[in-house]
Amino acid sequence: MSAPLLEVKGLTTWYPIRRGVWSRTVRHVQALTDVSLAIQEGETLGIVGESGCGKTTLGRTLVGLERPMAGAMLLRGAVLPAGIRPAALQRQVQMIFQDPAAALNPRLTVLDLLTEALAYHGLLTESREATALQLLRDVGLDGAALHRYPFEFSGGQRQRISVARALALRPSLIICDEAVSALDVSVQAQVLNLLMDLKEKYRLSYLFISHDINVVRFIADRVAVMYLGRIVEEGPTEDVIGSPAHPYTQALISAVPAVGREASARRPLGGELPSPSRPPAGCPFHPRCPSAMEICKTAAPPTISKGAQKVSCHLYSRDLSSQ
Amino acid sequence: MERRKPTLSESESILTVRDLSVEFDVEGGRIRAVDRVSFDLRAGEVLGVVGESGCGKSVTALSLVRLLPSPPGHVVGGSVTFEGRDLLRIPIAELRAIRGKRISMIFQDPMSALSPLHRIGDQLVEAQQLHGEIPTRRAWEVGTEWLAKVGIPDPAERMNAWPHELSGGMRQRVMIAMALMLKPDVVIADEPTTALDVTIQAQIFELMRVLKDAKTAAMLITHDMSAIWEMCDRALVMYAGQIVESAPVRELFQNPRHPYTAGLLRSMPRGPRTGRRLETIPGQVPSPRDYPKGCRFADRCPHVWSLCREHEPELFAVDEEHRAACHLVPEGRKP
Repeated sequence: MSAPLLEVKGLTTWYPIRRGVWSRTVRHVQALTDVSLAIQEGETLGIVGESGCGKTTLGRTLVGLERPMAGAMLLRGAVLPAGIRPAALQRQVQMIFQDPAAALNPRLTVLDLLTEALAYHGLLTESREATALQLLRDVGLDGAALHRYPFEFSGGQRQRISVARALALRPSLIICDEAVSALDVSVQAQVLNLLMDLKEKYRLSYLFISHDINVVRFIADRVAVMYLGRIVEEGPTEDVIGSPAHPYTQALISAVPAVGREASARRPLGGELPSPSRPPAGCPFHPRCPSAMEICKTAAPPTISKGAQKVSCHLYSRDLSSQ
Repeated sequence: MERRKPTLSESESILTVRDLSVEFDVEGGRIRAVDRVSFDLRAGEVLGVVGESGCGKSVTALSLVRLLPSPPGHVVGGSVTFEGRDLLRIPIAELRAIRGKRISMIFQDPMSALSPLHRIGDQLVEAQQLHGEIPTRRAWEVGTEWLAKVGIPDPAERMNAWPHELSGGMRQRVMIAMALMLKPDVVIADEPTTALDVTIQAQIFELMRVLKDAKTAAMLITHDMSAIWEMCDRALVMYAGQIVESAPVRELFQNPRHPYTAGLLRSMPRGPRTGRRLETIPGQVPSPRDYPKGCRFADRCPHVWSLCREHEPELFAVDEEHRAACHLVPEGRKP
């Protein structure tokens, strides 16, 4: 198989917590710890998890908005230099945010918003108007939008403009961070369909970050589940959601309200998410895990292959099953 | 959870809303946000109110207990009857004795509903003392018991905590404890779990089931159809300020009779992946500044015909419990 479009190995992003007059670093918010994943050309990888699990930090690190403390990033097999956001990454990887009202500069017209980055990179081949018009058509808006400002549009239309802006540089990968979460169901469906169409048309890959498992199940080919800055399970979407292996994934999926299922089928998860600045020792999930064992309190779980799924859990350790 | 069939004795309405209309001042005039809304909340049931942004569901909820800021909002018509009294017309002092004690509210953002300047315990004590004479020490004990009931660990310690020291899920539980503590007859919950993670939402839903045992009637206002399925006995669907369909929840999901309800259900991503596109509802909600003459959904409706543009449909009865504001109903057709 050819090299994946984007691969990260051992990615770690911690934020220092500084205290006192000398601003000494007392602890770190361990937003991402040892995250490895790969996104193939034309693939959609879903990232699910709850608030504070590190999924947004992952997206921001991949697009270069956060500087990782450790880990390697490879674009089509070539190692990207560490440090400030490399130019190659800038053009290849774009991002769409949850709140288009905040992501779009309110003082720029749609024309400016869509062509600013192209002009910066010296990539304008046609007139600005022609380029912007093509982008608007791609996202199902018409030329009437060109000279208007973001506030003149509805939430769904604004998110279409964000998508058009992300497309402008013809990226290979678009990171969608809760891109449809703020939209009403009927509008959300329109934007999801648009993302699917664009993926086919331009052979895009998506890293689709969302707390909404139903949405991820709809759009993602593979899915990774995050808990306290780590990937606890990863695999083809239907495998992970249909037969989750990690106890956290099981609890997460059973907590999603599902039409047609009785509430009694739930396995509610007790307790709350520990602070990412003081993650529990051993397996970070052990204090809430219904299947926790002694070893989980002390040793970090290995990553084990289970069919096409990868799961980080002591339950699946080989030496345990042989006992 | 068992879905109960309301028997006749249970069907009595505890909160009766008739022709409620609410308008807002906007530049150059007024718009109607809620238009002639009528429904009954029955003792012991959980009634869902579902619809998309701007459909009027939250404005309806706030108007019931006169919490809608005015201006810009104005209740311009209708009545809300609770125990023979019209809540929209009784003196405000009388309403205050009801609000909080007999009818309580849970909002989406607990941080804005809790005072940031008072400890959790003091707020729980104050809420009790506002509505009856109870010694502070006893009220403190009751508050602690309720924190335990809503699943807050170390309740005695948490009584001394400030709201900002608690997580969002914890604060929402404090709100729920406060809303249930005085054993109200009616709880109005406006998007109580929208800001929370699904595992916390599942915990809160478990908690709200406690309500059912207490025979408290509840209104759950939400944009989330799956929350309606999980929590409610009956549901109202709102569109552009009006109720367009009302039915027992199962019936609503299995046999939607308004094309908007049907469209909403079809545009939800659910179930295993098929690779197919989602069905969508074309177009947009009309602006309240110029609602069309006939049905407000006409421009987006796949079944529209001339009658729809001429006459606004009334809520036609599909059966005793199921109503839909669509001209297809008298024709015996389904969307």
